[in-house]
Amino acid sequence: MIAPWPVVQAPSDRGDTDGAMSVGTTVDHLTETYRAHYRSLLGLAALLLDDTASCEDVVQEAFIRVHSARKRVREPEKTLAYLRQTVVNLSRSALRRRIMGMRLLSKPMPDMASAEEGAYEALERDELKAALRKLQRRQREVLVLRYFADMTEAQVAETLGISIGSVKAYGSRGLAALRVAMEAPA
Amino acid sequence: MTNSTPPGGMEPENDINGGSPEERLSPDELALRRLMRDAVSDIQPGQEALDHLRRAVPARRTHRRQLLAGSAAACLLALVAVPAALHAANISGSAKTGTANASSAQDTGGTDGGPDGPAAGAGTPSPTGGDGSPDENPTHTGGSHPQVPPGSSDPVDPSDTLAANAPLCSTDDLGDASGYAGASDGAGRVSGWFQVANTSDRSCTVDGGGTVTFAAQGAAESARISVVDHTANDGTTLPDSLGTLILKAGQSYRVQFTWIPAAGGAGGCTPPSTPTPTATATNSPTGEASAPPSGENGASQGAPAAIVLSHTPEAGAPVVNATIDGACAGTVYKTGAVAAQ
Repeated sequence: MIAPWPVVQAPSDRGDTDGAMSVGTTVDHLTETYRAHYRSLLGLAALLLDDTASCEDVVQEAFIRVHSARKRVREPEKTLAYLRQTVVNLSRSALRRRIMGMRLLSKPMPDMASAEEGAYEALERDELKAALRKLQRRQREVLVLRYFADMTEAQVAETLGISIGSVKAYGSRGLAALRVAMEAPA
Repeated sequence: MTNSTPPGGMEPENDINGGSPEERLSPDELALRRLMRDAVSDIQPGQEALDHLRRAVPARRTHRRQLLAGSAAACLLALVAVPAALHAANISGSAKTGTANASSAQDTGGTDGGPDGPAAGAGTPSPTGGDGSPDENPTHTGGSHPQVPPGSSDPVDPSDTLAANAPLCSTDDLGDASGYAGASDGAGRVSGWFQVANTSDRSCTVDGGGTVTFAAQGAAESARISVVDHTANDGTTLPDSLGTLILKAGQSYRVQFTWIPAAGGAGGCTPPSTPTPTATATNSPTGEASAPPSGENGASQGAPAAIVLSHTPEAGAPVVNATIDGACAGTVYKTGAVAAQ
């Protein structure tokens, strides 16, 4: 099997498999990545986005971008990092509008969110989601990457292109703001 | 901000199920972590999400490739157009700098006549064919861009050029060469061609038209003769070469030329110049530029003025000649290889 995605590999083991994973352009790689990360990326998008209806579009677009870029696909060990970063970027409103524009050009995903609508609707009523909405975008991004995606502060800093100090600051302020938002009646 | 360097080591340590950070997080943070996971725990991929990706990824790749190819072609075009233009300028300039001159070989057989003629003539123009042609090649590789080889609407079959895998024509492949110079028109112009056939039984590629050199005979002044690449709007009716041509077995290419005598008849032709019965040449007193300047240079004034053009395929052989009679001074415009009809 080509390019097994190292889902459960400990960080120290990763270097060894690079050779075996170098052929990353196969459908297998896409499938593996899909199975391993698609759902969690949907969650990431759902927490970041104001508009949960476009979660799937954002994640789809992120997958397509990352997997169609050959040079990125050559580094399967970084695929998740690329995917997360792309989801974060696409979640920002300006970019999302562009995706929606692109959707008109390409064939839209068929009957997406028919069976899944319920989950998104529930999310809309979720207290945490409502509270996250009230945060500044940066604060929200830091909290979601930090606690949902379990990134270290350094990784968050790199993903967002800000300093570690900023990550700490956004994180602590975000937590405080979130606490307030969750305690206050919605 | 989708940039090239991924956030370091953001490996899938703990996706939704991960547990490692528990030790380093405060109770508040852990609570938030749990809340986040709970909030999205019911979200599932759309039913056709994976199928959609399987179609969309290759489609996007294709699209990217097309964009890439397009921009690459544009870059090549830019790279090519500038040197080609500069080159053309150089040639016409340098060709005129030749000094030595005059009479040389009397018979058309020799590629080069005497020591002088070729020195002046062959020296400069030869790069013309050699360099000029590779320049043009990339142009049509990327699609027919009319800019470089001016108005490349040509005899070359695009399907052939695209499949440029045939080996370059070697001297063994080529043969059956002939040269022709027609009658002069009212303006004293003479047009003609060299034709070389692929006599092998395989396809081969002609990359550019080789070289065309000249040898001045009689009163012809080699210092005032130049061979330049045909360009758009140079006043000739020559076709544009696409640069590379694939010859199937038995097919021929031509290098066409047009001789335009020096303006105002200021050429060095002395009155006595008379047509010679040489080769395939015409008998017209072509470039018989009137004008005063006498053939100061004409070493052998007695010999009829003529210019012997020699075409050498890039492979080096066969060499073929065509003679323009009654020509003393002017310019030979030549094409690269074009498909023979």
